[in-house]
Amino acid sequence: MWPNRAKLQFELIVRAHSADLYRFAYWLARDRGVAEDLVQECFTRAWKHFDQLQEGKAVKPWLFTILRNEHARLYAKPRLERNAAPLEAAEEVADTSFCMQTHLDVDRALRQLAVGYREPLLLQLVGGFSCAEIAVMLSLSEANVMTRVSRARRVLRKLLEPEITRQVMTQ
Amino acid sequence: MNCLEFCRQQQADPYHLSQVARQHVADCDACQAFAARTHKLDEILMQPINRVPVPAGLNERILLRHQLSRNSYWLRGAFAAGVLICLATVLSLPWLRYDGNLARVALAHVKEEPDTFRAQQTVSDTLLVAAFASVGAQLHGNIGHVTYLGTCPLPGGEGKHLVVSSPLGRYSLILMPAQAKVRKMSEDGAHAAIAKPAAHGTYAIVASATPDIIKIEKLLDQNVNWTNNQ
Repeated sequence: MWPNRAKLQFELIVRAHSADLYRFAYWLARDRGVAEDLVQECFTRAWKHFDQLQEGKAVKPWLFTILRNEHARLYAKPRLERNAAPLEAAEEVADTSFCMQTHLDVDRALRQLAVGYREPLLLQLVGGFSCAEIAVMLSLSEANVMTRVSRARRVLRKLLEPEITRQVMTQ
Repeated sequence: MNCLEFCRQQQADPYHLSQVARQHVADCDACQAFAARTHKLDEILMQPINRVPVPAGLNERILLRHQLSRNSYWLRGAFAAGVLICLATVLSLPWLRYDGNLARVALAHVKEEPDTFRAQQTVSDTLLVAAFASVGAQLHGNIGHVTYLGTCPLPGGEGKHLVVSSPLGRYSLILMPAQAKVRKMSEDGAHAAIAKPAAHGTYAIVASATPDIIKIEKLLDQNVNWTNNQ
């Protein structure tokens, strides 16, 4: 690949995927600084192995896998998951018209999920990946991913049941 | 497909339902309600997830870092080249500094150590042979009586300083590691010096007058093989 062409392609990829990757990183680590570091590191590694894209890899799952591995490496160091205050997360909500209480409820609910459950669910919600794709990314069986995502939704549904009911009723 | 299977699929992968599951939910009110609540749950989850503001300038910072890391290869290369140039300059300094002046250096060195002329050492043949061997030369004849042999800091490292009494007069012989390329001569009125290349360094003769030094040079060339240490 010509260097300039690769550079241009890389720039397009950064602009197309950095926001989703940042949100995924944020909800994994729940720390703005860590999330940005993860995204930076993700793209640094992506560039180092950019030739792998020539082998027909899909960009989006590839990037999410790199970021997920970087996050896993944080734990391996070991570095405990940071417990950012829910208020901090709430302060980050740009749109003030959005119900703050819902945000806090969701934050609390996601916090209660173990990483093993939160990760595949976030890949589905943020990345839009199917269970089959997530299985490849996490090196798990598809059935295992389906079980994890189902359990995650079941827990969240229980925690957010009043809000679900309220919103369904107001429709 | 029954409702239980649908619910399992809906809960695990609601956006990638199979054709069978889609047909089932179209005909089942209970599963439609279940699917609606699942979508509502995801909607509630997605609201705060998608509203997390991406830091301003994130893309630019990523691209800048990427650019810097690309440039750092050039910077590293430039730094390495700079170090090599400095190293080459430093290593070549002795040559630049002494190549044309080794005779003068020898002359200055001898004048700095006048005591060596008064020394009356007994220098063994072994030490003498070793001293000549230090510049890759071989002593095979009589060059006179050596009254002093010392080690001195000289261009290129440690060298040997000899004082010799000969029928042609007393002279100093400086054997130094720095390599002269051609024969050089230097005079200061009272003394004269000649520096000539040896196999692995330089030998310099310092004597009192030019006519004598030429003869001493001839004497040394006849009795020392300067270019072969075999």
